[in-house]
Amino acid sequence: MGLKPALMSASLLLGANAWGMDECQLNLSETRVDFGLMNRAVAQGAAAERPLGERRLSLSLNCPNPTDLSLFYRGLASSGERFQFTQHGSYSLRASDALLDGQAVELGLLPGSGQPAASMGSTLRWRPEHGIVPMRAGVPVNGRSLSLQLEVDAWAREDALRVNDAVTWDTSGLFDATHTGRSRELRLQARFAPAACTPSLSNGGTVAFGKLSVMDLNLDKETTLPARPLVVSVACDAPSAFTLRLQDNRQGSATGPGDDTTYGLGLDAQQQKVGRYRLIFDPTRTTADSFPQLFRTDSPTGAAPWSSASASPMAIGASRFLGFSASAGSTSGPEPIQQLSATTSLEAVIAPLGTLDLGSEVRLDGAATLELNYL
Amino acid sequence: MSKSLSTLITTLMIAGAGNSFAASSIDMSVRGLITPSACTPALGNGGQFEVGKIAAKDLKVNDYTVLADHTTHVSVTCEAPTLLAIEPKDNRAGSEAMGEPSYFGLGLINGSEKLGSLSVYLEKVFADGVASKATDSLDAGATWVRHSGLGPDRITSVASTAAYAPIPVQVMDAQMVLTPVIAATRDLTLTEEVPIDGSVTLTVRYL
Amino acid sequence: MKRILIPLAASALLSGTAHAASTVDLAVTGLITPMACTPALSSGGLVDFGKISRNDLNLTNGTRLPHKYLTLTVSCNAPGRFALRMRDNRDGTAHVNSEIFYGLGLDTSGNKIGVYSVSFDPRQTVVDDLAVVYGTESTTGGLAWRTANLNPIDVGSRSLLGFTDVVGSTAGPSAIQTLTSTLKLEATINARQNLDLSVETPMDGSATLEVVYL
Repeated sequence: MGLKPALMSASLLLGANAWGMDECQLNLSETRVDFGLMNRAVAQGAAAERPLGERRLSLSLNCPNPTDLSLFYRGLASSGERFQFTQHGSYSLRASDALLDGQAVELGLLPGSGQPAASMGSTLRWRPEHGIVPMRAGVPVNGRSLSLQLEVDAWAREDALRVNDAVTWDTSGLFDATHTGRSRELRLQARFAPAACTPSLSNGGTVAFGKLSVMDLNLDKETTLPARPLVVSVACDAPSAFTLRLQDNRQGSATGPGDDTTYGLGLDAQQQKVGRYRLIFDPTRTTADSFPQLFRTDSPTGAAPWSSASASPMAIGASRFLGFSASAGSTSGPEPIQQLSATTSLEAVIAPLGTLDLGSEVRLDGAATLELNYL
Repeated sequence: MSKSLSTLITTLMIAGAGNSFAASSIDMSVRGLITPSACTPALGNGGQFEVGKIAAKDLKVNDYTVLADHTTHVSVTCEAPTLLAIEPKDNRAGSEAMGEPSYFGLGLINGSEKLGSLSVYLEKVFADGVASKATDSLDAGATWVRHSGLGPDRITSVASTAAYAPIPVQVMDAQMVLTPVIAATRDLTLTEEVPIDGSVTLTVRYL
Repeated sequence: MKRILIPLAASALLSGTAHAASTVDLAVTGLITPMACTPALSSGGLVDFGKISRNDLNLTNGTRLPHKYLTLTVSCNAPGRFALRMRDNRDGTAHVNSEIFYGLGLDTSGNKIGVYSVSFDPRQTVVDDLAVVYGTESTTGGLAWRTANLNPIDVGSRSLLGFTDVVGSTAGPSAIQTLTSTLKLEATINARQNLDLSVETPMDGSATLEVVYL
């Protein structure tokens, strides 16, 4: 009867060891790191990449028994130092303030599982394909619990910010405590939106000629009405390169040899054309941000080649894209502008009265849409 | 703008056709003239002088030819004694042939040849009936010197016989002598009739 | 137990609404009306103050010139609603800045010579065969009119001036075929110390009175 109790206790001990490794816990204070919304503001400097910010989280790895607590981070490398955050960006991980079983320890950088530490320190840049391990006096140590602070920094390449649509970056990596069989995913996100520009017109966009007496209009030839000013404003939430076009909503009703820059004033009761108008932009009556002078440039496609930027007035059209530059003669196209104010001139011409049906009401009915396109 | 007389015809500004866009509007004009003290100048013969026709062969080839003097009368009448000066303006500026800053031009032939010069001199000057002297300033009235003629480079006023400084005058009258001079004909193209075309505008300036 | 893990590929998602072009609408409005009103002014619209001696001008204050009068007639081809407005063709030369003051030009050194104003008096206005008319004004281009009364009104460059046969009306001008009004023109010359009067200085005011069809 004396031998049996000893055997029982030995088997109990063995059971506890095997069970312990599965009971390690790997936790992150945040499993999702969001760098927020960037808009397409032009960079202040000439840097090729833009920092998206820094986020902090903490990691804890706890085991019931002292274990090899080395940790690897699995993520696509962008370089020797950083991880890929889509092809247009990158992020880095830094580990610091490591505590092993409640006591401060240094961290060693492992080129691979079981390999000797390549470098050591109380703060460590966590390189792709590398792991970290707690160390004391230059030697890796095991323990039951490891906690550390992680700093995640992200960057976006400048060209990534020039988006015409809203874009979300979403990537993940995996913290893998190889000896414990535990792992935890870290998800990283960043969002990009283009700057928004809002065009507006003075007087609610209405140029009202009021009532025009037949006595003041020519019978046998056209009558040119006095030009009216119209202020075209564009307000962007960040400097943006844009172009303007004007689309005729009274297509086909303009008198005279039609071209891209003439807009119709509607038809009378007998379907005769009432007249036409043009909207003339004058760079000398246009201001933008703090540019001392502005010049206008245009292109038939909204892309290069751009006409040589000029200070002479130009009528806006339906198909040519009109933009503004601060350099005379420049062929680089429109420059980023945050606030534009252009005093334009609306020149209207009425058809000869003899061609109109004056028996019914003859209305001037011009309607057009000013369209702003981003570059 | 000042009251002025031209030795040739003065053009009048005809009231414009109006700034109205259309017949539904009408123009209103408000006119008046603020005069320093209403001095009215007058020139004998309305300021027109006819030199007559001169045959080119009667002119010197290698030297300038002085033509006969023309004497006329100039007067300025004011509402009250006024310090005034006569300021001439050469309407043929740049055509004076002798290189004299105090002479006036007589026009150009073919746009480039200077026909000659015109000199103008005041004498027998009376200020309110008192015999006086003309006096000139080449610095717009800062200093006055002995009179040597009316010129585009100076203004001319009336002074007592004792000093050069201008005196106020209510009625000033003087004899004005005009002497045209034609340049050496070797420098001129005289194959066709050439008008002798001097034009000077005299303006009363208030000092 | 070691698990073999495959590094997860980075992924980017395109999401959000397409960033369409921003637009704003332009409207050009007007109406051709058979109504026709022809204004005419006595003396060809010319008010001439003749010669004014500079000695008669105040040194430190403006000098008011004697009042001048003009008769305005507006004849329409049918009764219709209209208003009046006057544009300064010497804009920028009035030495007092106001919508109702019109310029008299500049002197030889570029100083503003003076101002004039033109007032309409409902008591000196005859419309068609009405016994009385009342004056009214709009500063909103005809959208709203102030209460019509008998007070004289200075014509302006931006406000509309009109007449109605309804006292106290805020509906603006009533339909009129013929209007005759005696206008009073008041001119003030700038203080002499502000002007360069070393040469004869013409006063040169020019304005265009226009009929605005309502």
